[in-house]
Amino acid sequence: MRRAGVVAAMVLALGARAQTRIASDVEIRELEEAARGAADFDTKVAAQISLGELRKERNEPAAEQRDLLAALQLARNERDDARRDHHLPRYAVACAWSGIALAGLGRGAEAFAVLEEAVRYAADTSGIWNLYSVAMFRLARPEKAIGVARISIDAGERKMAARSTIRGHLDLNVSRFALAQGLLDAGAETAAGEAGDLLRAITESLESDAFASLRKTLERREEFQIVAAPKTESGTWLAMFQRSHLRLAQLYELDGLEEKALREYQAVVTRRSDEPSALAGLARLASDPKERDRYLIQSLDANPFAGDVIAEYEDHVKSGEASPAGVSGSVGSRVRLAIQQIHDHDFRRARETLAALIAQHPGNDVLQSLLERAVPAAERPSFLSKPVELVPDPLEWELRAVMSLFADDKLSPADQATLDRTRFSGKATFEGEAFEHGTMRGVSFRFQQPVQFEGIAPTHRRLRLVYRILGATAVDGRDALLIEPLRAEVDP
Amino acid sequence: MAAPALASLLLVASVRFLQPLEGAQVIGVTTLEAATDATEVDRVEFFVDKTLVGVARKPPYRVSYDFGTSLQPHTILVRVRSHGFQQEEVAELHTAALGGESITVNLIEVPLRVRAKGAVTAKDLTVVEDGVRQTISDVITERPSSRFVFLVDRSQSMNEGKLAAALEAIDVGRELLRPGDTAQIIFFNHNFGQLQDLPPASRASALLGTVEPSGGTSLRDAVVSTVTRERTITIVLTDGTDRNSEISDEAALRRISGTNNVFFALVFDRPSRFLESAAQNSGGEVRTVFAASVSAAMRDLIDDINGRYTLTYQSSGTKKGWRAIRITSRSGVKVLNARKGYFAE
Repeated sequence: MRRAGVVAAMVLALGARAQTRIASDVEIRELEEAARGAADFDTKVAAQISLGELRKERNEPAAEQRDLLAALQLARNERDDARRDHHLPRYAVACAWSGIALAGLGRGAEAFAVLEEAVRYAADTSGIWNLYSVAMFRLARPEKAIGVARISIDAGERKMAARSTIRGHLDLNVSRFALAQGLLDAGAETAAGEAGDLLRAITESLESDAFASLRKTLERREEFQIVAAPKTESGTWLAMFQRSHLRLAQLYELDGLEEKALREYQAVVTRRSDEPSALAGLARLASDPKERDRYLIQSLDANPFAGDVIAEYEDHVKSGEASPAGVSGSVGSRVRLAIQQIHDHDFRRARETLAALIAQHPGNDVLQSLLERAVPAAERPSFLSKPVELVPDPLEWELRAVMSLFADDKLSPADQATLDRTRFSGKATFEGEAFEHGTMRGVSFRFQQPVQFEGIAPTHRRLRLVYRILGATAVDGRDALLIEPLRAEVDP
Repeated sequence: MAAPALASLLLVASVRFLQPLEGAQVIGVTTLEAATDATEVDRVEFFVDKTLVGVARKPPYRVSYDFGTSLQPHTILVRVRSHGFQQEEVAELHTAALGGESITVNLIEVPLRVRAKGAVTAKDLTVVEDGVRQTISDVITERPSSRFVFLVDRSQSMNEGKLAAALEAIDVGRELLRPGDTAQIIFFNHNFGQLQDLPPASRASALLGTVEPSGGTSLRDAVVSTVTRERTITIVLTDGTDRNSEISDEAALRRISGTNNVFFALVFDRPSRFLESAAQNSGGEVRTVFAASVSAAMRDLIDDINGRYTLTYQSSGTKKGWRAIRITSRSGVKVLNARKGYFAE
């Protein structure tokens, strides 16, 4: 019976594949310890599966696969041992864990076969059916998943009718959540109503007197960890609380019920201050840009590798409302910096920022995809190959290309001699109080030292310059062109 | 910024720095000047810390560069381009940091709580570091301007009014800070955020009153995150238990026991061994409080901090690691509390 309870508990998180949830280092550290140090099969396999889920949310596919393979191996060993011992309940549970691991690895046919084997020997065990339904969600078989989830609920209700326990309450809610999740993932419009009812019933149940002592224990122990396969009643309660409120919030948000969505996201954050999906939801619903900025920062700090939040942050950067990110600081802050650098076409520095992050988090898909975008245009400006005396109004890409060629040391001596002879003209906007640095077509530049132009008051901020490009330098931590002014006039 | 590598050069001519010279200290606007015997020079480029900062086309080959207001070590490189950019030569030099790089300067500040009838001077006290008597530079009665960091526990167990009371206590405490002091706040639970400045006229309870208790506790991780080289007085408001820190007690104590940080704590429950050690080592103190008494306790604490002496001495120590400090006094002067030592790295 104990095993069935454990199995049931894991349905929650695995069913929540559409969400980007926290994959905090705290959980990973604790789960790695459990996977390494635990003596029993249940703890070890649950830890490996949970680790795989966390890695998935962090977009670390190699690590995810490693953890799922470890879980699969554990489950196969346990299955072999149970068969040798003629212990059918153990055998069924081990088959079910194998099925979950195989589904995570995308091996659908094998998962299906082994899960059928599991239910053959444990047809009345709600937890086994739950695992089955989760595996089907994972394999994008929503109709099958929904059907199996309903069997799981029936089994749970029969069990509760025979004997009502806290564990039984929790397991039943877990099964209901799996069904709600499946209905929503199936995308049928009529199913959304049933899913919403299920989710509301779960959140109400979690706040009921039945769980009063569990809630007290949670507070006393300051528990907050959310894992895919919780081992304890309090862990299951926490995971279910987070999942059901988040899913309900997303449902309300989708239906345009912003006030209700806000309340659900707030409920999640009140229990766990660094829940990235809820923080991102609050950012989406914020009407004040500063508030949106704050929530997005918090969300990316909580999970810097959530692809959907990164996309939302990119839009935020485009809006011009993002606060500057620092070179040092949290991983989230450096991811934000890389996004800002890519937005500013400061590709060399973006690559530097991302290279440092990748060294720290190898095998991360999100970082790799950002790196792929931090590549400057490969073109060479024509004035390098076909020298001209004056290049009027060079384009932004031409200026950035020259800057990159200098910075990457890719200019031949002939290119450099050509560039050193070439004059450019263009409109410059100055920053600060002197004529020393500013931008041209959004590209930063600076002079060697502050310059006074005869007949031009330093209060003018926009000048038309004739200049030569000397090389690549830096202004306030950004790549910039070092230029030599030859002539200036006020830009009307 | 593509500073050229020395090894890849054809040294057909020579280039040397005229100013600055190797080992010099540079600060503010400084002239960089080089001389070369190369012919057909196209230009001479100057790099500071691998960034191109200036180009000179004609002799004297010199440019100006602003090194800023702090004395830091820099690498300066000059590259002479000649013969239509086909040839190049380079020279490189290193400037020195404050005091030169080979000298370790340890000005140690020891906050002291003293009971005496009159004012205390250097003559009343003796400092022994690792068994070696040190020469006291000064005993300052006026507390120097400091950065105050309020480290506030926002874990689940800070509910039932404790978190709100802690924020109100910070407001009370800040009223007693002196001109020149700055204040920052950082919340922590199983995670910790960024330090936030508390602007002079602001009230933490109003600005941050929406923060709700949640999650676990990573006290040691949070404490370590606040340490800088600035003179800092950290006041921790917590209910004690650390369940989720990654860093161990010992490693955290090592990281925070520099020469410029003093730790105090107002604890709603029993203080952890770590907090007691942190306070004891740095010359701070831990006091037990209740939600109803934390504001008064904060007032007393800041009063006490403001009333402390600061003893300074130049350490003659050379070893790395923990250096124990023992302060003794002549009769009539009683040292109630002082820094017990620091880690020299």
